[in-house]
Amino acid sequence: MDVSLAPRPVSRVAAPRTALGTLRQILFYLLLTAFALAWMVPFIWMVSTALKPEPEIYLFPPKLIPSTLVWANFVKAMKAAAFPIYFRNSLVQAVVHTVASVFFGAMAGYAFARLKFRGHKPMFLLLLAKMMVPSQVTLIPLFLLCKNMPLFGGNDMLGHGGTGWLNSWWGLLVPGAISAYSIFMFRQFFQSLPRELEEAARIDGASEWRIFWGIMLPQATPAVATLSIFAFQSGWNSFLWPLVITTKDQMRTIQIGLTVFRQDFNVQWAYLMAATTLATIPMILIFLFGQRYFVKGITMTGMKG
Amino acid sequence: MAVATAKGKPRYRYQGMERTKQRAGLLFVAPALLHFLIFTSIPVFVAVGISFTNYSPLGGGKFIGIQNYIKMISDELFWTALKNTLVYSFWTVPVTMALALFLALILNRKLRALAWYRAAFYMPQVTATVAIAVVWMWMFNNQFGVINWVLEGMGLKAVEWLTSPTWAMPAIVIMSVWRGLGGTMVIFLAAQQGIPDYLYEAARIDGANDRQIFWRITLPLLAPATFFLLVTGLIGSFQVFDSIYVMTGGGPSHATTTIAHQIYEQAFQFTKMGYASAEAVVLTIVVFIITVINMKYVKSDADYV
Amino acid sequence: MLKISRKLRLAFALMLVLSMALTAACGGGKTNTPDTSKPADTKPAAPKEKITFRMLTPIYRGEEGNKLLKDLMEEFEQKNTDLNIEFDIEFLPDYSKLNEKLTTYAAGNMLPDLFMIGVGWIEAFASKNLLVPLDGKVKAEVLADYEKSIIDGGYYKGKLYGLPLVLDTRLIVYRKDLLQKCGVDPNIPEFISKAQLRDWAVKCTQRDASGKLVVAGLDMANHKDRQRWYQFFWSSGAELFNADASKAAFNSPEAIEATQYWVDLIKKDKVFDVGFATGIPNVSLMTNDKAVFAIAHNMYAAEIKKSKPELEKQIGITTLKDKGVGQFYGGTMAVLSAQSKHQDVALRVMQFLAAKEQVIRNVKVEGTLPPLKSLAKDPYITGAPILVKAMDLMKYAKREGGPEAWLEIRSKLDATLDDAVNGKKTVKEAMDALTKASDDLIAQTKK
Repeated sequence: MDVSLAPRPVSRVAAPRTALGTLRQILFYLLLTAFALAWMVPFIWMVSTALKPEPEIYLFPPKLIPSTLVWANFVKAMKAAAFPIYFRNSLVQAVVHTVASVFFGAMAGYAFARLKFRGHKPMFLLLLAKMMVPSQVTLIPLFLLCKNMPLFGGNDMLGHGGTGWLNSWWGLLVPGAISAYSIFMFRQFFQSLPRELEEAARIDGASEWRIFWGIMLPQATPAVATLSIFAFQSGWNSFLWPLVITTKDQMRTIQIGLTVFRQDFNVQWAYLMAATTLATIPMILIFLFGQRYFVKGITMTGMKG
Repeated sequence: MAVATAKGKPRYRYQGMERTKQRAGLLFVAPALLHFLIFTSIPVFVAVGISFTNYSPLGGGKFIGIQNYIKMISDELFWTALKNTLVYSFWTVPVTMALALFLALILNRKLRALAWYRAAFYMPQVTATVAIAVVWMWMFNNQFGVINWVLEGMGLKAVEWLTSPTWAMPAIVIMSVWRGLGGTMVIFLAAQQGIPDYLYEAARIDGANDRQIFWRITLPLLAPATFFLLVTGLIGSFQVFDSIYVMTGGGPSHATTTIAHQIYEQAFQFTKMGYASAEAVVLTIVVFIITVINMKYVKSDADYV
Repeated sequence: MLKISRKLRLAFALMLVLSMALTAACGGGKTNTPDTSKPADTKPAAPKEKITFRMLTPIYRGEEGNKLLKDLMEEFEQKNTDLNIEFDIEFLPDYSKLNEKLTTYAAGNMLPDLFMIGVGWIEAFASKNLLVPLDGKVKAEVLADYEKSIIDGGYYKGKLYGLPLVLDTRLIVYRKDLLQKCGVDPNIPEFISKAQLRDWAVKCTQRDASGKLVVAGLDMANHKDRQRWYQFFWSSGAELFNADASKAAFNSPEAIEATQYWVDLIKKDKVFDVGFATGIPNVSLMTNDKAVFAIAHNMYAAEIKKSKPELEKQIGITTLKDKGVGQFYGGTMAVLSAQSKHQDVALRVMQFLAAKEQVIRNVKVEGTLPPLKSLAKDPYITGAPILVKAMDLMKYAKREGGPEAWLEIRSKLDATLDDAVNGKKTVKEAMDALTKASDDLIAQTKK
């Protein structure tokens, strides 16, 4: 197999024909594996700490491999707080965020890329600018906006009197629902697609929605897959906003739950690492499942001739 | 059948079609626009307004004009933070992108356990910052950290990573590259799928070697993705906060404090929201200028040969 | 095929979103707080108005701590049958998130009825009239159970606003067995001078052939940790501010002398290297035989019991005393929100939590230090020499803070210690700069 950097289409791989070819292949795999393992050292450390019996946590220098593997740490960690509830909340948050980001992001991204409507350039710049504002200074205004949301949570028409969107799914999910990052990515992706299919369909009289939904979006499978993974991860890992907008345990998410192990001067290392590992596993599964969709849905070879 | 030219402009233009496109464009963008108007522009306007006051969340504050901005000019800490942020950004973004591109090229072929390799490089992105930052603190420990252990094993001198004003920022950069690489790699992977196979086939038939293919075909066609990563990478790097807060707290001797960190301190520790908002406005403007410069000089659209 | 599965996926997700929306619209987010058992009424039931009482706490941490507070609130309800309360408790993991939460609540006019803050925050909140003054509302014998300089931390402009719930302090500890190994008499007196500490630490520091530190004479943990530095500072007779906190006193000769000692320990005497400590909570050099003296948090008592209980009898404690003596105590105080509609109830809850029966249960669970002098005899304290000493030294208690601008000043103080040790400035330059900056900040708040 050729180990050069030039991309080879995934479908075509030449089997090594010579002994030298095999040797190069083995060397390649070795190096790649070593590099990947080195990349994962912090994880290995995390998991090893999670499995440590208590006295070994206080050792310095720390031991990499625990003398016994305490799997019970994982069980105990999960019992330390209402993790099933947090898990459910994080899941809902991540799924809704993913669906909203991808759906509305694709629509808007496509509009910016192909349906160059009036005012699309300044609008796009505004969108980019949104990403540039540090969230620390919009936190309180956004919080107040949610608290004073008219006609929710006991508020009157002017938004006074109740708690608005605090401690509610609205407050948790809506402010972050649409992501400028997602719109930007879809715009770039749609820009790079050739126009033949789109123009043909348009001339044939298809509606814009049909063109988008039936022709362009299917071609964007890699972008959808990528963004789904990112959006899920961002929803899963979000911490500060859920912390601020929720006060009740029932609404809290996993990332907030993890902090139960971390106090100012006293950290329960094994449980923290165990819980963090468990919180990471769904993400890895989603990635493993989704990355197969990086392969394009429709090949371009059908376009020739 | 309408023939699409290299620039993608249709040879025939239909009045009705243009209008439909315009309408559809606005409709597609409407949800995102609405969300933006409510949940982004309102908090941002409020924040900008606050920057002209000495408002504190605990109560009180009056209009003070541009005093906050004047104070910033002579605030040594602000300039240090700005410098640190720029240094961080200009190291992290290119290094991450180059390394990610390299890996994306390698992992774009049929390998055994391809999904696992990709997952190994993507994993850093999905773990909670807090736990992983602590693991890195361990790894960077002057006496017994893994990194110094490796350095000494190679015959080099141990480095006083997080406690040295010179090396603390490089340490943070290293950790950020480790963390961000996976996401960048994923985008390059997805973008590569958009490059039609027939281009490679044609080039090889014409006798092009690997390097020519990379520089003449792959890289130019990855331009939309590269542009996207550059802009979002820069924007994100200017907001780096969590890992610094946990690992160094902005030290040693303010060597790692960034603008986002300063904003956080001013807003939530000193409750000087007015000054924090002013710093945020300046940060946004700086990032905006850098982004616009990027947009002018970096190709953002792919040309089909 | 791909199209269909994606459409299905989207449909499913949209259904999920819709169901969420419906739940939310029908008053979703209502918490199912465990039904606290209502005590049987022995009096004819008068209609009791139900009160929702909100609390915010950065203590009562961890699974056990959370459970304890909930249990305590149930007991409170049972003891106060005239009230019909639903407790809404928000637990926070640590102080950093406390800042964000309290500032957003304050901005939104929704501070909890009872919340807890660190010592340095009283000024910030009280000066904006966000707290209820407690004068005349706390029983005298309760107030007397606090050391004066400790309860002083709850005062602002002569009025009391907060009651301490837990304290923390830093102590100089040493290992008797390791001292013997380096030829120092392990019977260290109760009070020592900085010079003595230095000499012994130098004697017990070990470095290898290449100069790398192997055993630190004194584990200083973090050279810019002002809370560890205070003992040095006050032992020279220095003060942070003048009597009415209108001017900073960081550049007095005593202050400079103390800080010079601190810097010299690292730079000249080399009993400690910056970065030698683990920097990781619960993992200590002294437990791992890598330090002979250490400036330790009182939580070390709990840590040593968990990690190496056999070492406990080897640990001794001493205190610095030259021209003066001062023991730093920080802590968490309970305060009442002036915006609360239930201030009487809040007062009762606060007194309940601050009473010694409840305090001792909390400190036992968390391994922290109680603020009440009468608890010094409790077996929890007497069972750990470090805690005994920590209670005993309360008569020398001093606190940080004073002016309204303290939060900013302390951030500059940390940076000053950093600069002095890193050699960016000489001690005198650094302290002069700090004094000037502090005076400027104080002047600004007076405007």
